[in-house]
Amino acid sequence: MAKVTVKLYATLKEILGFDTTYVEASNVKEAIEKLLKGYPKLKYEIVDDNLNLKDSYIYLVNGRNIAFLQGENTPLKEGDRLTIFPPVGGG
Amino acid sequence: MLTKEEQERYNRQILIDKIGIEGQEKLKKSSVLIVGVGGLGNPISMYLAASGVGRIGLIDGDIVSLSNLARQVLYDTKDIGEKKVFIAKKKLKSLNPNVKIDPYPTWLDEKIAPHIFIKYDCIIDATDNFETRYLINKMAVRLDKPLFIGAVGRFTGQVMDVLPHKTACYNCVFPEKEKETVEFLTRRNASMGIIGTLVGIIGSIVANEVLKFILKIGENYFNKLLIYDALNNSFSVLKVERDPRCKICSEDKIL
Repeated sequence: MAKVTVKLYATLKEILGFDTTYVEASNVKEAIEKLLKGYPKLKYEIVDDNLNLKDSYIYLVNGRNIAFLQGENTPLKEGDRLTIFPPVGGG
Repeated sequence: MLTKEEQERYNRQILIDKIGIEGQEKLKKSSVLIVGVGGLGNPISMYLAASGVGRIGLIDGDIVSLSNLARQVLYDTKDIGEKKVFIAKKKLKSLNPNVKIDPYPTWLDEKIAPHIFIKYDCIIDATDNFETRYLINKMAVRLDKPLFIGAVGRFTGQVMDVLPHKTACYNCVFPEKEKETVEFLTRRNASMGIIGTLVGIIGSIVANEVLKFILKIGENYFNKLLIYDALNNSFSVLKVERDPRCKICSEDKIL
């Protein structure tokens, strides 16, 4: 399994009090599961009751949105960076 | 050519070796369109007008309301009920009479966008909802107009710049979801609140991005997304990439 850097911004950072953590995972789904296990407070923010990723957050793997990759099955390799944040849209 | 008045007015900018008279003339010849003259559009338009950008278009169908005044510093209490673009034009002309201001007291839609966008060198997204953000991005990409995006919510600000077909567009990073999700995101954002100072910080950064681009100096947030956190004053710059599967910017250019 690959060691992956997870960066969390905005409300997620507010909830945790820090913005960087590391998980060992081979794809995004696994990374999220590990993240929620380590930090259960994130659960209602980033996944729904069925543990599906919420549409209202942005998930990037190395700067590319997973919507254009393989969604939560997007594979992760050693040194990859998973970034999670909500889009803000106000002006 | 700069007049004597202009040379004195812009003296502190002209003194910068990377700008000089030549740079100041570039600003004078340039035109920008600001979509949304609210919290972000206020400081953006004020700094661009003050800096001597030659022509500034302002699109907003809104009127000034009391709850705007905690962050929309271009407006006074007595302006409540007035169309924002007309008040903004009056204030900006008073700040710098050399600048031409084009007010569009309307909401942006797919029909009018191309007619207005085509008249400007670059486009600024300072709007307050995701529906319009996707429309602005689509039109800017289609018309090949450099786009500068600012967004705020609570204590968070986001900034990114787009060179259509060359760097990641808004949809590459924030791909448009189905209508219900987009509406939900807009509602969530409208109800999360904004700290007044945040629009000053993010608006100033966006204006600075535009000035650098016009002057061809420094680096822009192309293929980069700034996430600013006002709670601990941290600036995080994420590298992002243009996505070959993006349905907006992988389209062929239509002129």
